[in-house]
Amino acid sequence: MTELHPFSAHELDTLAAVLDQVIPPSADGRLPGAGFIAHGERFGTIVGLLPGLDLGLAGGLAACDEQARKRGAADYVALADAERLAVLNDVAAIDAGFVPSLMFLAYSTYYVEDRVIAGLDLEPRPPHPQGFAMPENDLGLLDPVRARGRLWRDA
Amino acid sequence: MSEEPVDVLIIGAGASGAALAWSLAETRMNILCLEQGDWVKSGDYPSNQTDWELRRLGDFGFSPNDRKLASDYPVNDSESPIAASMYNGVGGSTILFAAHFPRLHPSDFRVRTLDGVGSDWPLDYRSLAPWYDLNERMTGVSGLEGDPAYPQDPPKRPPLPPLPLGQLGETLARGFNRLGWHWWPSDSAIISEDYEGRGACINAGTCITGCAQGAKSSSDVTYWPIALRSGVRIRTRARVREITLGSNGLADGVIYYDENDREQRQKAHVVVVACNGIGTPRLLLNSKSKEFPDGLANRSGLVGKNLMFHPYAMATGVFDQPLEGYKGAIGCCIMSQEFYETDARRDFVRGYSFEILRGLGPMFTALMGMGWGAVPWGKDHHGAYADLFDRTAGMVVIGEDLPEECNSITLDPDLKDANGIPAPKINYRLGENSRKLMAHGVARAREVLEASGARKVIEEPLLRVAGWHLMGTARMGRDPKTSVVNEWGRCHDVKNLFLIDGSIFPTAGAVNPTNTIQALALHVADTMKKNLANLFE
Repeated sequence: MTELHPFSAHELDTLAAVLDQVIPPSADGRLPGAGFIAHGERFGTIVGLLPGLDLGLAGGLAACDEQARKRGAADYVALADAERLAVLNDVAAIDAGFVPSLMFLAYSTYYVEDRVIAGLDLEPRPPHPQGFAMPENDLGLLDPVRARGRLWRDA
Repeated sequence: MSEEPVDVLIIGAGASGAALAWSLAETRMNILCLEQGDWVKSGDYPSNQTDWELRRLGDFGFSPNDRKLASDYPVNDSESPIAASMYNGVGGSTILFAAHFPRLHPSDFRVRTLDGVGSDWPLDYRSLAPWYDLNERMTGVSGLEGDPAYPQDPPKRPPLPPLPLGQLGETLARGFNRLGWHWWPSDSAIISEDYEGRGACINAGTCITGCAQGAKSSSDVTYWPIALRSGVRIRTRARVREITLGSNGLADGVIYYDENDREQRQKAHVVVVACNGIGTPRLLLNSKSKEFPDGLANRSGLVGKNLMFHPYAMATGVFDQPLEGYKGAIGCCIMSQEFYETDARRDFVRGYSFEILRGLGPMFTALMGMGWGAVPWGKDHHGAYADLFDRTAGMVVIGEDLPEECNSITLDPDLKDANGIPAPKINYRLGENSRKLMAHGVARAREVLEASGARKVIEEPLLRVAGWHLMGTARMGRDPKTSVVNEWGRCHDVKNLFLIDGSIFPTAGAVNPTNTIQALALHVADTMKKNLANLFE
C-alpha cells in the first residue's frame, strides 16, 4: 500500500475553504457547507480510495494558494468569499482534474453525514434493523397484462 | 492437512456449490467444500451504519479489483468494456446480488433451432422445471403466479407473495399499461414474509451491499445452514491453485493455500468446480499436466472461450414528484419481457428484459448526478440536488449476449493473486447483435419512462460495472468436440470432474442467471445420486 500524502494543518484548512465553495451552506441554513469534511474522520478513507487522489488534491490546494498570492493575499484562506470562488475557477481552468476530485470527495462524504441526512428530512439512522414501511400492492394494475395472453414461444 | 480423500470435494461455496452440497448431503458421503473467502456475519454488513452507501466504494464494492480483500483475486479487465463483478466468500456473489430471480424461457434452450444462432442446450425448460421449483422453495422466492411471459404448464408458483411495488413501481407499471406492454412483479430471492426461520424483508433498500436482515436469500442463509447440519464441511480461506490428475486419468484432488498461506493437498474421489464463469476456467487453465498441456478437461480447446455477460444499459427517468425510491429492494420491483423473444421485424435476433431499479440513496444520487452533469458544484448545487433526490427511477436493459469464441478468459502472463497464482484476463467485445439489441432497449426504456411521466430521461448505453453474470466459458453439450461438459455437468475428458456454475451455459438468455445456475446444480446433483454406482463410466 502506497503511503498517502500527509496533509498539513494548513492544507486541511485550505481544503475546508475550497469545499465550502463546492457545496456551500444552503440559503435556508438547513444544510451546512462541505468544509467540515476536511477535518472529518472519513476524509482519510475517501482519499485512499482512488489512486493519486491525495496528490491531485494537494497539488490543487497549492495552486489555490499561489493564485491567492497573485491577488495579494497571504494564502487562499485569507481571501474573501467572492475571491475564493474566483480563484477556484482560475485553478479549475489550469488543472482540469482538481474540481472533479473535489466533487468526488465532497459528494461521497457529504451525503452520508447525519446533519446532512437530517437536513434532507430523512432520519439519520442505519437502514437496518428498522427498515421502511411500504404500502400494499395494487395488483389490479395487472388486469390489462393478464388480458393480453401469452408472450412466450413454443420450443 | 489431511491426505485422507473425501468422497466429494466442492471448490467454491457460492450459489451452485451450496445447492449441490445440500442435495448430496442426504447420501451421507464425506463432502468438503473449499472456499477462498470467509463467512460474512450480519453485523458486518454496511446497512448497520448510517454511512452504508460509502462502503459501496470500498470493501463492499462489486469489483474484486476495487475491494482488494485478502479473499479476492485480481481480474485483468482492461480489454473489456464490461468489468468483472463478483464476491468471494460463503454465499459467493449472492452476498451482493440484487436477488432478481427469474427463470429462463423455453426458447432459451433452443436458440440454434429457433433463431439460427448460438447452440441448443442439451436439456430443455420442461426437464429443468422441477429443479426451478425446488430451488425456488429452498430459496424462498417472492413473486406472483400467472405471468403470461412463462408457460402455465408446468406452472411457475413462487412460494411467497410479491415484494412491495411501492410508489415507484406503480408509477412505472402505469407507464407500461399506457403503452400496452408486458410487466410483472419481479421474481425475487428475497422473502416477503417470514420463511423457514428467517425474518421478512424490511425494505431497507441495501440489498447490493448485503442483507443484515437475512431476508435476501444468499446461499449462506439458505442452503448452507442445512447442508452443514447434515454433515457437509466448509473450509474457508482455502484458495485452490490447481486440480491434480491421478495416473488413471481421473482428478484425484487439489493443491490449495490455507488461511496461513501454507500449501496443502486435499485428495478426493469426485471434484466439483463451482467458481463462476471466470474462476472456473481460470482454475482449469491453471491445472496443466502432461495429459492436459492446455488446461484440465480442455481437449476441445473451449475452456475459457465463449464468455458471455449480460450487457446492461440503463435509462433513468427524473420525475417531478417524490417516488420513495430509496425504500424497498433495489433490484426487485417490476420487470418486463415485452421484447424478450425474437421478432423478425427487428434488426437483431433474441431480445432483452427490462428490470426496474428503485431510486438512489442520498450519496449515490449525488455521485450519479455528478456523472450525468446534473448536479453542479457551487451555488446551484442544492437546488439541482433537490430536483434529483428521490425523484429518479431506473430501467436497466438486460440483453442476451451471443456466444463468440473471441470473447474469452485466459491467464494473464504477468498478473497474479496474493498466492502467486496466475490471474484471469478478460478479452471481450460487444457483438453487433448485442449493440443493436441494446440500442433498441434504451429507446423503448425512454418510451416507458416518458409514458410514466418522467420530465427528463438520462441514457447510459452500456454499464461498465455490470459484469455480474459470467457465463459460457466451459459450455455444456453432447459432443466432446464442441463442449466441455455433458448434460449433467460432467467433463467429457475427466469422468469424475464436474462443473456446475454459469460457465456451463451454452447460451445466456436475457435474465439474471442465478436461479438457473442453482437449478442446474440441483439437476447435476440428482443425476450424480442416481448414478453413484457407475458415476465414472
